[in-house]
Amino acid sequence: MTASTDDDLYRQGSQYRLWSFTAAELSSIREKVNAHAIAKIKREHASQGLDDQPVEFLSVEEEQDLVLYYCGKVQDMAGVFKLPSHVKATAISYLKRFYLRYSVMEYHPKNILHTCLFLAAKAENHFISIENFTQLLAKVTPESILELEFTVAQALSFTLMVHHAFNPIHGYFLDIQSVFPSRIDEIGVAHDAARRFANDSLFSDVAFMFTPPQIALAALAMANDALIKDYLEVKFGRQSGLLEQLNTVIRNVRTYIEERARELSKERVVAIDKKLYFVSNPGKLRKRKADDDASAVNGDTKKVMTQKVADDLISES
Amino acid sequence: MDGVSRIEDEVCPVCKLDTYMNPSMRFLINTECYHKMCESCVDRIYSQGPAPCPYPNCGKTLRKNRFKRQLFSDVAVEREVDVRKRVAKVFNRRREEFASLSDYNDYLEEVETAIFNLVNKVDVEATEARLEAYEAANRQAIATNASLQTREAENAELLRNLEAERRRQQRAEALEESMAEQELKREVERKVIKELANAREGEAENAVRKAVAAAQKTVQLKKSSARRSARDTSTVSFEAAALSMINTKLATPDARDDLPYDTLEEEEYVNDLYTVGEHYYDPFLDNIENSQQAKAAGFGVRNVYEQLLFEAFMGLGCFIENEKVRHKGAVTT
Amino acid sequence: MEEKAPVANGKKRPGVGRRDRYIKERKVGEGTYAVVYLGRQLSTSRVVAIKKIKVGQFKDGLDMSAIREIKFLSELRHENVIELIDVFISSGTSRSLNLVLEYLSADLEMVIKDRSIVFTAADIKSWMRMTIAGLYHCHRHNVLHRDLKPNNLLLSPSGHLKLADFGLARQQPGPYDVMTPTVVTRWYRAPELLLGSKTYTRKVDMWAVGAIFAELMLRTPYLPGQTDLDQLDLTFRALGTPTEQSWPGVSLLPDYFYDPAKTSTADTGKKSGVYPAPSRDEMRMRFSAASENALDLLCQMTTLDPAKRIDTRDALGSEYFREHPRPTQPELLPKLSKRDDTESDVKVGSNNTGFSGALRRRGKDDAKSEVNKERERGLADIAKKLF
Repeated sequence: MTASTDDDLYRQGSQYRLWSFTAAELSSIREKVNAHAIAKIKREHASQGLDDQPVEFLSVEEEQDLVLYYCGKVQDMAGVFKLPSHVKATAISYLKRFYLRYSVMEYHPKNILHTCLFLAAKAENHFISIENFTQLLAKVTPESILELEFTVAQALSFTLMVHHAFNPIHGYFLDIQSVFPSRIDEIGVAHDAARRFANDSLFSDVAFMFTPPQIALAALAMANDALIKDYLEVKFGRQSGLLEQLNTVIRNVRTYIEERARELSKERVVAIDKKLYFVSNPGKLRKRKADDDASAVNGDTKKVMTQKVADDLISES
Repeated sequence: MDGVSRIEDEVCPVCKLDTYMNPSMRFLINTECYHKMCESCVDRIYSQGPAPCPYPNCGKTLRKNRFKRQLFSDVAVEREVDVRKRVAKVFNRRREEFASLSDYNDYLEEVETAIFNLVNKVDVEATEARLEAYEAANRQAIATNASLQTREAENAELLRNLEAERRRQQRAEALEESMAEQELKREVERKVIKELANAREGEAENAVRKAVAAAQKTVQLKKSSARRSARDTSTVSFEAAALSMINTKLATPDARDDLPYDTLEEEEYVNDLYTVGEHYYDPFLDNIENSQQAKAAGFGVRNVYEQLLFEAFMGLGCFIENEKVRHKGAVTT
Repeated sequence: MEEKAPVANGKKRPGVGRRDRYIKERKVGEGTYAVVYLGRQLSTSRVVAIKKIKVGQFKDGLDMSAIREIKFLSELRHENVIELIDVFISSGTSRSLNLVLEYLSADLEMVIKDRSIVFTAADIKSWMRMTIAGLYHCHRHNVLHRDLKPNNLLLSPSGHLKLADFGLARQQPGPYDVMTPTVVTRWYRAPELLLGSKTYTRKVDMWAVGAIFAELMLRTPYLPGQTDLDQLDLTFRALGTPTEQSWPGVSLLPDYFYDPAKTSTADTGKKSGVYPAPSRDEMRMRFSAASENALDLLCQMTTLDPAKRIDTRDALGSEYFREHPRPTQPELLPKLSKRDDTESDVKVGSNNTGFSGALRRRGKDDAKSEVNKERERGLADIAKKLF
């Protein structure tokens, strides 16, 4: 073996090998997962004789919005268990990685998220027993979490190690000090703000497309652009190629994080979730249609409604 | 007298039988006095137990189990070889046991002196005594080195087998290649004949020329692809790789000892992006800095600094968008 | 038995590569935590060890040891670390997790115990070099092995040594985390662990390597304590009782017991005796075959104060590895002598499986077929590239 660099070390890791993509690759994967799921569900509906229902499938964007909404739920739950930020971040990574293998139309994130958090706590050495874990969560049984553990682990290709931007931010907090010892107050403020931006980045795709040090620098730049500009100039000024590449990357990371910073409206999530409900239960569509029709007649009796459903059934056969 | 065949015939000095009369006759010697006699004389004289040597004025007592086949026609050579073997069995120290080459040379000199003395019958008693004393004093070390020699012999045997196997493979490949070539030649001939048969008069020469050119092209193509695959096969051959490595290491044991050797270099990771400082301002780490107990367990701020800085730069220069485009198919595991 | 990963509706899932299939040929061992099989990868015929984790009995789902082993082995790729080839879930009556590991036929403990084998200084150096190189790689990745001992150092048929059994491994924790001091098999446990420290470092692995180094030279365990307390006593007897001068802060460690006022009382007895540090001559006598540089390295590895103990990087760069003789080539290291009917174990790291090598097989043939497999694999790769 010949001498290798820290970058080579990163390239050996699973985060680079299995979970790093170009933007084009990432969207192509999501489209494939979405199409694969739709084809599969259509086959299932057909086998149940339900393929005539006007089921509206979720789009790639809708899937992604729903996953991100549940990433927020992971965050809330991690708070309930007082888990440190890297455990929370790992759980969110698991959830996002899971949905590069499966569609939300196959596994609803509200079920997967518990398993992701439970597994992440174990993988990050913050073991919580299944009883303690389920005690604090309403309507969740040990079985429902453990049942999905294999599915999640397999979807993750059994790679459980995740590197985040938090420690690199802390590392730069130290290294910037050695470059600008007099700007310590500025550096401290930037560090605190950068951690928040790194947290925001969990709700974007940057972890799939950039490395933790790159995200860390971008988060710091979002906190104090001038400081990072000066730092990089001193640090890499002589390697103009690298400096240029880093600046481009930092710009891109910022754009992705800022794009995702907008709040998801509750209404949109509810609408997507409703759609998802009928994808999983196409039979219920009939009833909804019936309800809609009934309410259109405005206050008709229950008998009429039942009659209407019956009519639908007759016309079907 | 038929001179040529008579020279090859030998006579047993004890019973006077010769190989002309008795072609299956074999001669034996012993390591006591190196007097030659035939196998049936040895059987006859020594089957009942030790007995004196039948040569006049010899007087040595010999045992049947000490007789052996003569390997060298010159008895003096035979004797020296035996002495060397016997001495080497006792004086079997190895180069690596000596701090310097000159120490080792001194030791070898001593061994050679002992051999010379025994072969030339100088100070035989004193030398034998020294040999005995050395053997008694170094029994354990001698046994150790003996077992090492056995191991080395086994390794050498392994290497010979691997080498032979590799040669066999090479021959097989070469044979295959030449057969393929001949087959191609025949194909060219067939093509030419076919062209000739089909060609109209007057165009024959042209047609043949075209066929030959086309055929030559395919021959060349096939040849180079054959060569390529042969080369690939040899590069992936595990034995060949192991063999060349072992061979170079074995063939020049002394040369490699003098080369600088750096274990760390082979494993080293390069970091030229940062240096870990002695101290940083960091309120997060105050509790560690102040904890004597953590310090006693070897855990100090230094450990944390190292780790955080390492993580800050691990992967900084991996530009996924550029790198992953080049590695297509990286999507699948 | 044939195992395969489930494939949804026979259609390939996006992003998931073709899954390899494996045959389990024979059960070679069983412990409380796992069953180990000798098996084959169907696509390549490569011989592998399959460690099937018993899952049903763990109420908290995937066992922590399995999680650690998978987590770290997926990241650590080095010539001297056991290769995790694949992980799959077997269907069947109860679903279970299977780790496909590279096939290794022996461990260092077996070689140390085989009295018919003679070690040269170069052999010992070779094993040490491979052990420290593998450990350096782990430490670079911030991974503490926490269970180094001769029977977790496995040997491939070609003589290469590999660190195995990462069931106790973990990352060096951040500033606020604590760890359990009850790690590492007793004889190889560093003094800071024996004294109950919860904030130890990768130096605990280095201590274990030092104990293994000594064991290779002595051909018997260096510090074979009977109990944890005895282990501490033995350690101090061999290397001296630490003082505040030799190890600053030692008296603050949780289980530090030595109190000068108590030494004279009868109830503490010899357990709190103060032993002097061994002199250089004493060390030379103990390790008569060791060169001065070998002794230096051994002393640096078994320094009581972890802050002063050598790290993997400096150990690799030590004079011992530069001086004559050079480490033996792995291929030429002594192998286990042939056993009764020439059979050998499959090893995957012993601690968690707790099996003691129940079934055996023809070792030499295996080694040979491994070589063939190696070549076949190489050819298959070439073929893939060509077409």
